[in-house]
Amino acid sequence: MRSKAKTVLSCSFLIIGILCLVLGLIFWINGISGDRGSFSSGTDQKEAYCVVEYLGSEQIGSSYEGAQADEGYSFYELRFSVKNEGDGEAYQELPYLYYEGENYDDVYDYWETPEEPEEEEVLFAGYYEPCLPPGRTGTASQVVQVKDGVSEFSAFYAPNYDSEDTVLRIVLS
Amino acid sequence: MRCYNCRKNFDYDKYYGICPKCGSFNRRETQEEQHENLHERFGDEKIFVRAEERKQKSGGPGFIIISVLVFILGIAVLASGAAVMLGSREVSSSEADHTLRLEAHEAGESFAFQQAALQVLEAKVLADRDTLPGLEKGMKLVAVHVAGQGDGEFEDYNRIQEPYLETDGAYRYALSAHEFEPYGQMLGARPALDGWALSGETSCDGWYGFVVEEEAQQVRIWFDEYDWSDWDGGNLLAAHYVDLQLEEPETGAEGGETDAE
Repeated sequence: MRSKAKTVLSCSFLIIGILCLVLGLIFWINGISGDRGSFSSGTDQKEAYCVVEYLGSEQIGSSYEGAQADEGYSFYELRFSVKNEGDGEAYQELPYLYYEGENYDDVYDYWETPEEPEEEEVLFAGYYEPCLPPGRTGTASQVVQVKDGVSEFSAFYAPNYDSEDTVLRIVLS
Repeated sequence: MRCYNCRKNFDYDKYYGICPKCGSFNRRETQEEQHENLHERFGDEKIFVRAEERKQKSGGPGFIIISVLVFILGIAVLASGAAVMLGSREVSSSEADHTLRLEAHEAGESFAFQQAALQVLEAKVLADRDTLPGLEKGMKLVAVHVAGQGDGEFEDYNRIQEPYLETDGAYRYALSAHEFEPYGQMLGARPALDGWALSGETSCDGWYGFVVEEEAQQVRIWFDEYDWSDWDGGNLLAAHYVDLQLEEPETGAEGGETDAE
């Protein structure tokens, strides 16, 4: 009986030990993989993570910088705040936003521009576009043309290359 | 008995089971008979005791020691794993709270920066499109005067990450010293500073160039403080900023210092 009890006890120790070992390894893996992206991560894979918030809009009208809105559309300027929560610099102040309304033609972020004479090469090319350093909040705006009568639509964006799309509800003011 | 090999009949007891013709060894008993013989020879009790001994051997001290060692190792791995996971969660939550240390300073104030001290002195407009037609429409060239004191060591930790200039929520990079230097010289803002201005130097005094919107009057310069001891990109420790009023160039000024060389 005594030896049987010893065997049971040994088996219990072994099983509990193996369970702890497996759990501990899982914790280790989770802990290490979850460490990415902090300001003090010290990794060479610095990444931006931009969180966009819609602030409001302003109707511009049917013409914008010499361009004419499509018939039945108006230009709107949408204002956003962008917070870079990653540990790397964002090379653009605003992630690419993809707009979608109830109907496919509710909102466009492109339009025909009048042909301009070819611009000369500018001084300090590449330094004019704003960026967003890590840990800071910036503001940005974008002009879109919206079909008359449409008051709200959605904007989709990915905070960084690895993340899933996030949806913003845009309500025109 | 008949030999299983050559079929010769012989006396088992006389030849002890070995066939006199072919030499094969023949067993007299079946397996059951052999088993019964063993019982007769050693008795039932003896056999039971041996089985018990075998059982005891399987749960012997070696097995117990291994079990205890696995248990201790498991507890140690679990405890360290939990500590690592909790640590990473704390970091993640601090990231979610955006605890990047932001430190405000005044123009002219000397502040500790990495293993050095920096001082942002002034910001001035160098040129608009009238002076430099090559500038992009609606933009102007500005420069920020910065001085610093270091330990003179030519070490990585003396590296200064190029600053950003913020105007109304828009951040822009500093112009590279290489591109800014000739214009800075012409327009009275020299020498141009770069990331190595304090490497191997005990002090530096120069200008960073930026392009900003023409209507900008107030700017904020940002210096990101890094711990460069990590070879793989450094850790961002804090962001220092100084708010500045842009000084417009004086009308009829001589155009700043020029480098005859």
